[in-house]
Amino acid sequence: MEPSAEAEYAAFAEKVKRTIYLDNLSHHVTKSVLETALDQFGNVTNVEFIPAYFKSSFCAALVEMESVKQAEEIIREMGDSPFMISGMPRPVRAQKAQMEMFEDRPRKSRRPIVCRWMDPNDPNFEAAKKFKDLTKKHAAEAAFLMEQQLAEEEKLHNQQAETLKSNYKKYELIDVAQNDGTVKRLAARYNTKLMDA
Amino acid sequence: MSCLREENTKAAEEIEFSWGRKGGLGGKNLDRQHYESFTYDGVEYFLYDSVYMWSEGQQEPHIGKIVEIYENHHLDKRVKVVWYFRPNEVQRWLKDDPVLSNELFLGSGVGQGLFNINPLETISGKCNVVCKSKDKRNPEASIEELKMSDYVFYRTFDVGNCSLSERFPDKIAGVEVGHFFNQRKYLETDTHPIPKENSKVTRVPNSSFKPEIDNDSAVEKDEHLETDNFTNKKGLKCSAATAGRLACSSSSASDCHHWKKRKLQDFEDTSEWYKKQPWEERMQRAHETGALVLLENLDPFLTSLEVEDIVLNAFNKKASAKMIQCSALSSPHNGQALVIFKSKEDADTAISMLRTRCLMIGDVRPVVGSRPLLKNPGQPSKYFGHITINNLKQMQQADYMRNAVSTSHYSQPNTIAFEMALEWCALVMRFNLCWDALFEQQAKEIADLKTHLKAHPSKKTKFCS
Repeated sequence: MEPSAEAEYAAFAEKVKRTIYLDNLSHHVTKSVLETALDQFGNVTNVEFIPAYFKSSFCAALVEMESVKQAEEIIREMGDSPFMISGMPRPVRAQKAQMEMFEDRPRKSRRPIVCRWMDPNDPNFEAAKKFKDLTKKHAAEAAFLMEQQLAEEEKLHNQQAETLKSNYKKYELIDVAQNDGTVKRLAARYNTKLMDA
Repeated sequence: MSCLREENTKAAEEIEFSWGRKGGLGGKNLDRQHYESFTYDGVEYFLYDSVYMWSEGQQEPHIGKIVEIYENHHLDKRVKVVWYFRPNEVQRWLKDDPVLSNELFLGSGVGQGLFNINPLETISGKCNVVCKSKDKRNPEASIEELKMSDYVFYRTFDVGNCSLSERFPDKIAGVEVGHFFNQRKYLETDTHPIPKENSKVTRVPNSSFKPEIDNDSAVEKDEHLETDNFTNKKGLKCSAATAGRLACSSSSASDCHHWKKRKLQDFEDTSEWYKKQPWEERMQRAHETGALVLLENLDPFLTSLEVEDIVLNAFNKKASAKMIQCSALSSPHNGQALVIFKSKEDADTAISMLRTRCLMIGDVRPVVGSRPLLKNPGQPSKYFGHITINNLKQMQQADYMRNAVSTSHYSQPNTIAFEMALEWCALVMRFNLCWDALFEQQAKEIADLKTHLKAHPSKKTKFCS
């Protein structure tokens, strides 16, 4: 029983190395989209989404590649230049996958798990209680930071949308002016030559 | 000259839909097929669910209770909805009464505005509305349920004479008032008749959830037992108050117990003899019934099976558990798991035990238990960053642009998209630094406490492996 458990663990560790963790994905991204996207760079063996149960979590996926080298290359390239999946301009983020990200992982080691109920008379009881409170505090802090992040993202999104719209209007204006001859007339008036773009 | 054009991911806009259990035929010519449930956009709705209804142009969604679901002979899907009124809608008649921040008023009486028959497509999500009324016919809601609810109500608003009252009539819009009070959900979700026969009852899931995660490791013993309990109850018409426990009525008590024992034995022998339900469905169900617990401060390296073992040893109750997969932003110190207990009572006992006493894992980590705040299924979390432009004029070039957006690609440095992408990268990096700093600080605080605990080692008894 022993060797097979260890072998299982080793195989799993290897799989983790070959897998890319992608997040900042939009909700419309499906498994096939991810596959086609990363197929450009190598062979994709598996795609799994990480389920998001809580209000504050976002879309992420684990993409398993054929070899460790392919995975590392992709992660490196995506770190250098922004890669867009199903929408612009927010790029996806690629990182090395970690073991805890996987759903079906084998046990870390054969060590037994010790768990017990602590006596209220135990001198450590107070400390344990403090620990519990600390955990709750940490969770609240994390939730707050997440909220802040979402707020900033929203701001940036709106800002970019504005910039884009105004840019677009400018282009439209130029287009309209070109099409209905205004530009030609203006050029004639000011005695400048028009260069055909 | 390149700019962002209309994004064409609308192909994915087909919202999935499927009917659930059929009801009877209705309507003047019996040409309407009534239903008791349906699945829309990945969420399963049942008769007498409270839902949000929204259509273009409205400021906020309306909230109503589905009292009829049918498809007419034109194949239009319709729902008849009795409305809940928001305080601002009945402001005139509230006068100086105190109003809770999340209070609603159930419509009653006869008149316009009590109910509407709307297309099913205007439903935009489930709403958790809990009734606080002291009416004898209303099962009392627990404190947890009240905390988890989106809204509460205990008064009605009579649309005929525009008056508020704490009394509930016997019928509203022709429907028995019992359906408007708190439901013991599991009584409704069952799909099978009285199980007096000895055959194994297979539970066929109604909804069309796409199970992306299949919890292969956990044996679905508990879920099945849960289902059988529910089936029992429906058949014997037990009262709502003690749902979850095998509280059969005395007449067929022996049958019940005998049947339950047989089922248990079957489980001991064979595992997974029926098509298992995906974890997500069971989790949602448990969430609605209050049997879902979130455990925190676990070792992030634990597996789901180990968590189930811990639960079994600590509380002596069987449950199925799943370690929540970490994302890049999960705390590296704090592992979390969702545990589905067999019943709300089990979950309640577990939480209160964890609160009053300390369950220590590995002698240094006390487990924290709580009721989780799950996201509404079918309601995607917020995502910012994808900008689209609707422009009719540029339609000629739409095809080329469509391809550009739909194929995933690296953006070229000379495009505006590139610059914006860099802004996003900068934002993400900034926050990464924030998260790193936060986790570092949290690690320090945890380490401090741990040393304090280790400094006073206490007697320990190993009891699980």
